[in-house]
Amino acid sequence: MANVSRIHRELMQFSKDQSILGMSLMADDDDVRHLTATIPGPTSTPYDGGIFHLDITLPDGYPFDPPKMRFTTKVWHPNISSQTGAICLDILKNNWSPALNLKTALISLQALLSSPEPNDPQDAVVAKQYLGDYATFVATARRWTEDFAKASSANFSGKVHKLVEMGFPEALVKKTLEAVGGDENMALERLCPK
Amino acid sequence: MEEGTESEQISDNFTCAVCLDVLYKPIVLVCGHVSCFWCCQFSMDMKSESHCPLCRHTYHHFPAICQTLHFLLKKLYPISYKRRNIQTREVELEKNTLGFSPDIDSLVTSEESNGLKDAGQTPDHSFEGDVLVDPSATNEKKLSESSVRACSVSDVLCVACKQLLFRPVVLNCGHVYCEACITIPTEGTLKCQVCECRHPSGFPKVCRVLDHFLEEQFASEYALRRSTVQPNQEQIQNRILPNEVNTQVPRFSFPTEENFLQWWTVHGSKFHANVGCDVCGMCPIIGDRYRCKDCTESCGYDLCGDCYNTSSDLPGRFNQKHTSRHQLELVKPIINRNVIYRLLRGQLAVVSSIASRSQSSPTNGSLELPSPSVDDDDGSTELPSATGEDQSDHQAPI
Repeated sequence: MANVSRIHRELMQFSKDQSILGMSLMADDDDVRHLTATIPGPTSTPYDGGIFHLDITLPDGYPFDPPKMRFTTKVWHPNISSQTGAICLDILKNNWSPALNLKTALISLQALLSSPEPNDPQDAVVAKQYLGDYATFVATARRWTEDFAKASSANFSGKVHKLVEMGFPEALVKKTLEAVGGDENMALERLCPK
Repeated sequence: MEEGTESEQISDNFTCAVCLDVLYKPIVLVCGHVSCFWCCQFSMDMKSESHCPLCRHTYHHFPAICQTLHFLLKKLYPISYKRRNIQTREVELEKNTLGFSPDIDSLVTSEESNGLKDAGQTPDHSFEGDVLVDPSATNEKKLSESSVRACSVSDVLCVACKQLLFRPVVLNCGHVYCEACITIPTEGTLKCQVCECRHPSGFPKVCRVLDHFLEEQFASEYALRRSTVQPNQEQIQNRILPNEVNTQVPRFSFPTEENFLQWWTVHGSKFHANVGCDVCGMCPIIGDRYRCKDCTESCGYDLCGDCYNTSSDLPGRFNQKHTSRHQLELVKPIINRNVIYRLLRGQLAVVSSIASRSQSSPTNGSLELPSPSVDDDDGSTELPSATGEDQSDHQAPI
């Protein structure tokens, strides 16, 4: 069973540094081992200005096993799957150490956004584009940031408006859009009764 | 659960980086980093070399608990330490297959009385304000101060020179020396002067956590020690460096993806995964393994070949009730399906890494393989298993 008291201590430490980091980390009310986090896109990168949401699950072996992290906001990045948000980062796999924690892992993810590692890709398509056509990569990454990572942008309210016009309640639309990272189609899929 | 109910503010020095709580039954690794007994044990790789959680320094021996540090922490933070004692005991009872952490308090009979006067101690206010005291609560302040007073120079003496520790280093057996008090034999392994235990892990680095504490807590004594030791420091450095090689026991090689096959053929018959020596802490045991036939604890009692030959009366690492009257027997490594599976997996890694490296660098010579299902020829391997299929496309031509 995961070390719950350590998780509480981590959350307390995190809340002290939260404002400096500009990140957020929240545990589920009923299960402290399931958390959500946001990290701001690093400046002077195509991710600048975006807020990236993450889903974190702590395995039973935590902190001796690494936390499972996944982007819920869609990201165009060689080491992050554009489909699932899965992350390829050594410290979340073999190079994890129990002295690392959620804060350091999130900081590392922010660093990963600034310096992609296309030679060890998670998303082969993105990596190929990064290596072959860097300008297009930057443009695509920026567009994805605009479209998916800027929840408060005009784009977002446009999507909300569109979905509200389809007949869904506004509050629910906003919530769903945020949950899927601003992807209009995914939101629609979730909103539609099965 | 515990926050707010405890008045003790734990110094960052004495917070375990793994559990973020006060260090409990501290283990000092050869790199000088400290963690709790169980935090260290759980961080270890039971099948290969382990790495320090803080600096990733590799080590192969699980050190014994540092008793000096243990009793110091117990004095400094009596409430938190008591709580950790109760909590740890509960967890140990819950998972009783793991064994128990050593019951040091009952092992040490001649513990110094707690009522020692703070002879010659100079209270350092910046330290108190910074580390131990919550200034808003006067009650707590008093409590913390009294706990600071409870610790004196006599709690932190070098076992060799019997003076205040200066640049403390901790050996594999848990005994603490000044860096300058360690004498390195010209040949053979470094041994503890107190318990005669071998120190197999190379020259230990200064334990910074303890060093900082001493420098803050006993400022004047520490400065005095510095002034007397410093002139000799250069000599010491000179003395250590040429001999350092001698303190390094020939390192065992551990399997990596690349060399797994060669490694296994050489060491496979001597590799006891998941088993550690109860005296020197070698884990996993490589070489001969002796198992106690009379210990009834579920974690068992095992010795490596060297420790079997140098008979020792130390209790087990997990508080087993082992005595010298118990019978030990030589046992062979357990090769079960898991090991074979690991072998095959290692094999696949080898195949794919060879394939990706192209034929230009044929790596290994011909090998004898332990598993009959595996064939080897000039470094490229073919596997009949289903998982091998997808790899075979990339194989270097035989």
